[in-house]
Amino acid sequence: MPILPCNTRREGDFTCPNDCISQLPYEILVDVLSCLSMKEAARTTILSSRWRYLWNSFTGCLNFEKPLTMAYLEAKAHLGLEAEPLARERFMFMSWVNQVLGSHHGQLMEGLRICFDVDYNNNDIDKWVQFAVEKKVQKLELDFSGVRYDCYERSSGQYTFPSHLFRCSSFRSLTSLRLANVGVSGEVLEHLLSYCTVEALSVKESLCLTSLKLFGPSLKLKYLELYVAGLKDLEIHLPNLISFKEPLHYVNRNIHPHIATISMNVPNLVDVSFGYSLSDYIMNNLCQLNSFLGGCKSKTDLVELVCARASCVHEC
Amino acid sequence: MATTSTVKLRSGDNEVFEVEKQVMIQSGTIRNMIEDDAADGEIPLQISSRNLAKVVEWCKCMQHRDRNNNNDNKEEEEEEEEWEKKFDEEVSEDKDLHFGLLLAANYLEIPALLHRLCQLAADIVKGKTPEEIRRTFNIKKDFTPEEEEAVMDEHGWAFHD
Repeated sequence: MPILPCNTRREGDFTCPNDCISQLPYEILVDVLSCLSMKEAARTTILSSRWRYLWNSFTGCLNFEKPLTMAYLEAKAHLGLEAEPLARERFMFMSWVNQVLGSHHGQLMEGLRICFDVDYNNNDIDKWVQFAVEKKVQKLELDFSGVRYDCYERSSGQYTFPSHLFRCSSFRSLTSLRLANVGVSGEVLEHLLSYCTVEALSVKESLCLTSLKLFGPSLKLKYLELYVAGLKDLEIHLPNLISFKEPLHYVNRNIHPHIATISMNVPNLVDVSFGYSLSDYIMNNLCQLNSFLGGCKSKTDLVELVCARASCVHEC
Repeated sequence: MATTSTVKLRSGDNEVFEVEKQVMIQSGTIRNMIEDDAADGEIPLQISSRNLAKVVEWCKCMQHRDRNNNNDNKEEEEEEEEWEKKFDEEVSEDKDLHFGLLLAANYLEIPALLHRLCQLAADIVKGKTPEEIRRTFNIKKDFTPEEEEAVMDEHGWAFHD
């Protein structure tokens, strides 16, 4: 049901004997709501009829996650009771996201974050990304990391980032992109970064990411986080990069990723941590460490490097 | 172009504020008037002198901060932070002032002030149950039981973890 702004005031003043906040113009109340978290904003629908439909114009960050449900599913999985609760929880999660996205009339949205073990074959996920493009989000995070099972590996499929949705439309608003257990190739990332002003990029567990080449002074990238087991070829020449992180510990300790070709030129890096895949490279290039890190400013980097290597040796 | 460097603002209760144009161009409404050469006389505003004084004070502080942005003057920086903190406290404790300023910032089109005031209002709402929010702002629940049930059906997910 549409809501009309109630007596929008053009003047600056009013007397406020009673419920003064509800007398504020519609757009101001929406701005207030949009400073809240998604759940807090949605809870205001119960305050009064004036507030009931404001939420539909929310422009803050939509954040869909169910950490407790994921923990419950993991516990079930350990007991060998996987299929039934997972299918039901997936259905409920998808319905929740679809319902909330479908109820939004606002033109813009600051961010969209969806974290769950979703069924990657479901067509609805493309619609979620389409929503993010249409609402010109600045932050997009899709973390489809699965429920972890110690006893066996998950099937090898994963959702593929729908690059076709970006080609024709402008998605220049994007400043932060985080993907986990989402298939995205180096080419798609390179293309996306060439016309978006992405400052923070995080990619974890992308099956089709084997080669990543990011270079050029025009790239705004400042924060890069990578954990990709299949990455063989990494070239980053990024003058604006200040942070490069690779998580030290990987969930599956039987996989020891190894990047074959590495080329780095990151003169402004100040914050760095390395994991397995770069450790060989670092040990083999210790003598060139200074040039490798360019003008790396922080002395603690060396300590971190040594720690990373020590950790690798220990784990192996 | 207009010749003087100041602009005169007349409040709803007939107090006149003479302010530098450079300060007031933060307001989209007044900037448009200056650009259209319509700001030579007094600009009448339906804003009380109390609220208008506060808006002017805020604009002066922000302009001063922006101008000194490149200077590394620690003392002045601390002074500005202190002023902003006091402004936030004063506004958060006085609903008449808070909502009056929200309307004024909206009318005068001062996005940074509007955003700050919305953030302060959101901070008051944060962490409160619906009943506590109603009590804080004197909001009267006017739902029929059926309407309330419909809202809970649709948004029940927001009320539990």
